[in-house]
Formats: sequence, structure tokens, C-alpha cells
Amino acid sequence: MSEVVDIKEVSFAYGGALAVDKCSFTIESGQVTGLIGPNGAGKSTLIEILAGRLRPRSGTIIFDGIDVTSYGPAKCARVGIVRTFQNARVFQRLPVIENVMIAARPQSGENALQAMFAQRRWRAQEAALRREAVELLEWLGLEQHIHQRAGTLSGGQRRLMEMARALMAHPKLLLLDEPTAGVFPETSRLIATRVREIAEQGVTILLIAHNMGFLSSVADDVVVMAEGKVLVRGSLETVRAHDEVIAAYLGATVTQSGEGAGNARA
Amino acid sequence: MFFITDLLVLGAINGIMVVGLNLQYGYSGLLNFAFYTYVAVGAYIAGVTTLGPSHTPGVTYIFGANLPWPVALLLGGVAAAILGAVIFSFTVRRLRSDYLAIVTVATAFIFWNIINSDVSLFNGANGIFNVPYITGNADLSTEQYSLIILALAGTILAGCVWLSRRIFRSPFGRLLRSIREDEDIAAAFGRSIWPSQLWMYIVGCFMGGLAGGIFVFYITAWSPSAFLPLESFFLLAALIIGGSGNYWGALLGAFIVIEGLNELSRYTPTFGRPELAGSFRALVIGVVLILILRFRPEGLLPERWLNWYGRKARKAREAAAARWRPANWTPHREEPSKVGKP
Repeated sequence: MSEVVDIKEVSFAYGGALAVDKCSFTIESGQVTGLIGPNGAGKSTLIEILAGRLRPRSGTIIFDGIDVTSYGPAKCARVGIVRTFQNARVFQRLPVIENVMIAARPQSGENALQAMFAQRRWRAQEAALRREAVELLEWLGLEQHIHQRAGTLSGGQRRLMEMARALMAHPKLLLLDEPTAGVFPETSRLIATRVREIAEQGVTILLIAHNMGFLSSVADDVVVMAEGKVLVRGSLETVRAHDEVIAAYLGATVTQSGEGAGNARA
Repeated sequence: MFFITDLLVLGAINGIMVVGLNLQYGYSGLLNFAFYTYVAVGAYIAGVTTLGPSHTPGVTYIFGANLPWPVALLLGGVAAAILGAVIFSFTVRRLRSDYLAIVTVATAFIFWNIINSDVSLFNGANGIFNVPYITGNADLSTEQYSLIILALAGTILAGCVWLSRRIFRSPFGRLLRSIREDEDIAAAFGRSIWPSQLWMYIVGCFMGGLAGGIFVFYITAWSPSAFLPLESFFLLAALIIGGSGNYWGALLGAFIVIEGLNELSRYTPTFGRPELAGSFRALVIGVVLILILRFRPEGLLPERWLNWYGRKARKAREAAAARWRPANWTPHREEPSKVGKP
């Protein structure tokens, strides 16, 4: 197994508040890595950094041998890092199928001149993309909503559509930010099955989740974050048994000498 | 008879403008309150390049030349497009939504004031006049000439609508719509935002310049009083009332709103000072705009009526709706849900 992503000492702060604090870990190729931790642990921030939306204050990120630390979102997408959003974001006024087709790249019909004057060059590609989009939507159980406007989808359907859109981009690294948040259990089971199937096709996945049942069914490996740092890493069972993780989740302060002030406040 | 051709000519010219504005606002979401500035630039350039050098004392303008009218028309469009590209790179690239709107309003006022006060540019407040008919010296009545202009404007309008339709149905149009809806997602899928918007800005401005050129050939004169910054608001109102994003809506809006504006003063009683008539028109447009936004926010012909997939897709959708059964609600295909079954 080779490393696809190597995160080295990455830090990020919103103003003065340190959200990610010298966080380092690696993600193996073709693995599903779960990212868990209490609220404010810096999980979503880390995803945003990996997707290029935020630029880390320090540290480096190597993806597939390329230093992507300074890449913006568009450049990250072009090297194969594709993400979904924490609160499923869709193009509200566009039909579901257009929402999905937009993700494929490169499309020769997106060149303005070709779009206006050379339809023949992109018609075949367009038809192929449409077929692929329909197949993906069927695979994710959205076949009845293909022509519906995405703004009218329910929360769970939006999550599924986001996954279809992300897959349409043929990612090497798929970042799923809480794919099952607020999703009906049945749908969440479908998402778990699909995530496993995607991983079997060789796509590396990093996902944030809070539902341990969901995690246990998809994740090969779990990284626990707390207060911007990686607390522990391992399989879900070992992580669950870990003292510090229990402490972080239950909110108890890890008592160490010299932390009296913190204890007193608590 | 002349009355009707005149209405149609004005409708077609304004149609070209609103269809051009639709490319910018409807397709790409770029709020442009300076659109009439580009129309004016097209009109001025087309005017001065056919007028010939100035012989009248006290009338000064640049580029006095006797070019054939198609060349002049094209030059007007190109000049508007170049100005659009320059202004885009300074403003649109860096600003979004409200800020962009403010800056475009300011642009419109700046250009209006420069052209109005600089006599050497386009003869200042008096403007250019006696622009020759495109038919040259042929002896034509006003009505025959307006028919010729109608044919020209109609052809160009048809071309603009055709181009809009092409763009709308292409992956490029889809990309523009997605950028309009949410730039962040478009960027997260590897799209650069401004190059595609620049294209639409340029093509829109080009259409505006063409419309201005035809306009100046029709009325044979152009001055700052013809392109008050308020005109851009009327175009935008026409687009929103007609249905922004939908090229047929843009066309409908242009005919209804601009014609309505022109004809309104015919039926309103004259009262108070004569300038009130102009303000009254603006007032009526404002009220109509509010009513449309309240009761039909997507305009008379909404964008969603232009279904990419046309009739076939509608049939597929209806078939899917017909197949749908309440028991079929689960997205989990492999193991049908046990819910609701004994």
C-alpha cells in the first residue's frame, strides 16, 4: 500500500483561534479513512484545507507525489481531489442531471467558441456524459428525480446527489464531509454500501462521520482528532478503547500536572 | 402603418439589447447597470465612422470616416466588446453582486459625464447628427427606410437569439448557470470562474454595440440625452419582467416593457409640468417590477421552461411519475424495505 496523501504538521487558525494544530497523518491508497472527533476538533477545517478552500498557515500536504499545499480549490480538483460539502450544497435551480453532469472534466463543450460554433465536437461526449450521469443516479437510487430541480430534493437525496456529482468527476481522493448527517437510516445504509464499493474501485476516501455504526461498516482506519491535533489512529475497535478518546468524547479533562487552571475552571 | 413598423424596429433593437444583457445577467449572473453605455459606444462609433470628417464649424468628433455601413456596424460592436473586456478586467473580476452593481452604476455615470462634457470626443452634449442612411442616396420615404432597418434589426436579433439558444444548450451554458448558482461548488470541481464570465460579458457587450449601431442608423443622430444611465435600468427591468435566463423571456420583456414605456405617454393624461411624464414612466416600471417580483419572481417566461432535454425529457419524467408507487419509496434497491409489510 502506498501513501496517497501525506499531511505534515499542518496548522490553520481562524483569526486567533487555532483550528488545526500541527496535524500530521497519512492516508493509504484505496483505503477508507474515517475522521472523527468532537465538535470543534478541526475535522471540517482539515477537509477544507485538503480541498484547497483554505490555505494552511504552516505545514505541507503531499498528494500523489505533488505538493498541493498552495493549490486553490480548482487546482486541487484538477489533480483529483474531490469533495462534498458539510451541508449538502447543490445548484438549486438546475435539474439534478445537470448538477451531476457539471462535475465531469474536461468537457470540450465548455470552451465558449466550441459551444457556439462547433457542436459536432462535443455532442458525442455530451451524450456519453448524460448516460454516465443517469447510470450513477440510478446506482444511487435517484432515478426518479433525474429531471427535478435540485432545490426541491430532500436532505438525504441531496447527499446522494452530491455523491453522484463527486463520482462524476472521477476522483482519486474523495473527501466526504459528514455524508450521513441528518440522513434517514435506510439511506445511510445505502451510502455505506456505496462508499465501500467506491473504495473497492481504488478510490481513496477520507470521510467525517459521527455515527459509529456507519463508521464501523465503512472505515478501514480511523483518525481521531481533538483540539486540532491527531489524538490517535487505528482501527475503530482500538480507537474506541483508547483512554484519551473516551476522555475527549466525554469531555473530561485529561489530568496532567500543570493543568490546574483548566481544571479549576471546569 | 409607419407607426407599426416604427414600433417593431424599436422592439427589435431593444430586443437585441435585452438578449445581450440576458447573456450577462440571466446566464452568468453579472448585474450590469452600465449596459446602455456599451450601446452608446456602439452607436457613437458606428455613427462617426460613417459620417465622414467634420466640415461644420463647431462640430468635432474623432474617427471621422466614410466607411461602408456593415463595417461601421461591426466596428461599433467590436468597440463595445473591447470596452466591456477592459471594464470587466478592472471590476467584474474582483467584485461580486451588490458591489459589482454599485461599480457598474458608477461606470455608467462616469462615461456619460465624459462624453457629455468632452466636446472633442463625440461633440459633447450636442452629439452627432445627420448620420447618412445605410441606403446611401437612394430616394426612399421614411417608411421604406424603416422597413429596411426592420429587416436588418430583425436578422441580427434572430442571430442573437440563435446564439443564445446555442449557448444555453451547450455544456458551456451549463457551466455558466452553475457559476451563477454557486461559484464555490463550480470551483470545487475544477472550474475557473472568470474566463467563462468574461466571454459572456464580451458577447453581451458586442450585441449591445450592434444594437446601438442599428439604432443610430435608424434615428440618424445620437447624443448624451439618448443614453441617460436610467436606460440601463429599463433594460434590466425588461429582462426581469420577461424572465431572466430565458432568451424568449428577454425578447418578450423587451417588446412589452420598452414598447409599453414608449407608448405609455400617449395614453397618460398630461398634468403638471411636462417633465413629469418621464418620471411617471419610471414610476410605472417600478410598480410593474415590484408586482412581478412579488407574484412571478422568475418572470413571465421562467428559465426552467427552456428544458435542455425538451419534449423527450418531459415524456421520460411523466413516465417516471406514472411508474412511481408509494411502496417504491426506498432508495435501497437490493433489499426492499420491510416497512409497511406484515
